[in-house]
Amino acid sequence: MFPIGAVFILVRVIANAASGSSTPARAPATSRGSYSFLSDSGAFVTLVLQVFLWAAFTTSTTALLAQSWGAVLIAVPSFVALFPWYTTRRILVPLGLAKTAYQVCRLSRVTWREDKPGGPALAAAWALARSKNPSAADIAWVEAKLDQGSPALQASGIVAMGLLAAAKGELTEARRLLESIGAFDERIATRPIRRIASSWLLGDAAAEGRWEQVLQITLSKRTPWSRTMWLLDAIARRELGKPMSTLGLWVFWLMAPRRLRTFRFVALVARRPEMQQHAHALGSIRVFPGAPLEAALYRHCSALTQPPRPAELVNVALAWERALDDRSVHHRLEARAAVIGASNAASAIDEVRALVEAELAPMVTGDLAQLGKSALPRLVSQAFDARRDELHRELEDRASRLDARREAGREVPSTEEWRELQITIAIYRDLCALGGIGERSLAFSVIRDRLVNYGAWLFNARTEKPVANAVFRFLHSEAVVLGDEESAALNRKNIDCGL
Amino acid sequence: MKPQPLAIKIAENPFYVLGLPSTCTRQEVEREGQKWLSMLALSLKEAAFYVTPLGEQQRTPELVRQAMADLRDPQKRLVHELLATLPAQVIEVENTPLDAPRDRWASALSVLGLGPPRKPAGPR
Repeated sequence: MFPIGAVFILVRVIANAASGSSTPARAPATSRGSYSFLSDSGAFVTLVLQVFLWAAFTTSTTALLAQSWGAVLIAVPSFVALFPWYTTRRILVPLGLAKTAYQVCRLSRVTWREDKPGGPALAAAWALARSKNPSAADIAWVEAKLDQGSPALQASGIVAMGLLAAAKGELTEARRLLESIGAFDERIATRPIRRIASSWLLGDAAAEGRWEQVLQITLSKRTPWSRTMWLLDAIARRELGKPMSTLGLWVFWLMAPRRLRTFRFVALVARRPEMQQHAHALGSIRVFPGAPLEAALYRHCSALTQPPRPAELVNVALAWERALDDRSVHHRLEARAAVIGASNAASAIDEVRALVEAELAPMVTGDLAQLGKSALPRLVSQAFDARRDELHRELEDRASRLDARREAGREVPSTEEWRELQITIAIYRDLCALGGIGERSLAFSVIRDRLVNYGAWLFNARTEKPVANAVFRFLHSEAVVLGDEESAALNRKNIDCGL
Repeated sequence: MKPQPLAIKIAENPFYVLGLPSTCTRQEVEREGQKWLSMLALSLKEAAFYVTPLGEQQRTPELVRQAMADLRDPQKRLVHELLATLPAQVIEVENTPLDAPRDRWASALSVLGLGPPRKPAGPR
């Protein structure tokens, strides 16, 4: 056999001698910073190692075929060492073996070579997210692994945090974290990371029947393609009444994996007539017949049992306005007030009106803006304004707190930094959705300078370069949309500072 | 989502908690309240839950005492009467062809190998 190891060592020694110095001590890398493992440091050693492992695996498999059962002691470990990520995702994750998945994934020199402990933590979190009853101790173990030992928070770590939140049943947090991956450079949020994050988001949206979001994810350029993604895209199109023939749907089903498990749902969707355009996005606005107070309460309770839709919100508000302005309701209340000795029937109406407004305000979303503010009932319009004012207050408050913490140099764990930042950005996005470009401009003026300073602090003082880069990328994209050339140039310069 | 003040008022409406109609007398309130408190003290199954339009809720001694206190105040009682207009039963949500909810693929996450299947949506 050709002594490839000895030749490699000899070449290294000669190369070092030729450069006249020993290899300088390498500063700890703060990010993966590569598109593929071939541009990772140590890729050559990885290739050589893979050749040796492959030789060991094929030799021991041949021996196994010749019924030398002892060879299994070499065949299995060499296979695991040769394909640690494959073994993890195909065997250990489905079995829910979080800690083993973590350890085996640490052997990875290809997919996660420059991404530890983020990559192994992601594998462990994935195993826990799949379990029906993940143990709190295992979740805490993975969280502890994430918080220690990494020079900087990576996209893999954030996906791990998102999957851990899902395992704990904190779905809003999980969505926010997994969606935030889009802010990272592709050298940080590599293909396997984006694939896991987008698959979870797709599955979550499909499980909730949010097909517009499924379509939004599948149409995104940053979503890595997969056969399952194509199937979900086809189902979403059919559900939303967009062009998708029954034949096309079945072709995508045939191409997708796990056909037996997906058959039932695809058959259900295929029964729907093609191109049946629903009034889904907004719903239908109509007046509910019957006694006004009963109707309002019925509408309200119905809306609470389903994810709120803009038109439903309008229906609820219309029904309440009709009930609270109705003379028969006023007369009934006055009669009852006289019987039980209440002093003021009108104040009871006012109290209920205030309760309705307070209840509707958090349900107001950007979709409602599509209906046009002037077309909204008074109660919704008031709730709309209350929601916008509240979001402005929250954004100002959050941005100020980030700024104050930066000025005081108060550090929190990097995972918490990212959570804080994402909540601030989510508020900003909610505000943008509520208003037009003017609202967006106003909201951007609140965060523009504060987040640049915050990003610079993360980059310089905290050496959280990947996260800082993501902050600059977000600010740059917003500045470009809003035509803020000064901010765009500054953030472009910051992005070029590297990872 | 933040606490929903009106939803809480409906789910914890004293008339639903005590299982009384909104036209009941003060004496009926006291009698029924004492009855529920005694049953809860004995941990009787029949007293553990009450029905509202938003679904079944857990009945606790604190809720019963709060309900009795609220109904003693005429002004508060008036608001509760207004909000207890619907009968104490879980509402059936109507679906019309125009705004029928879309299919939810509850097992999508487990099919994709990313989580256990979700439970169907119920009253929140």
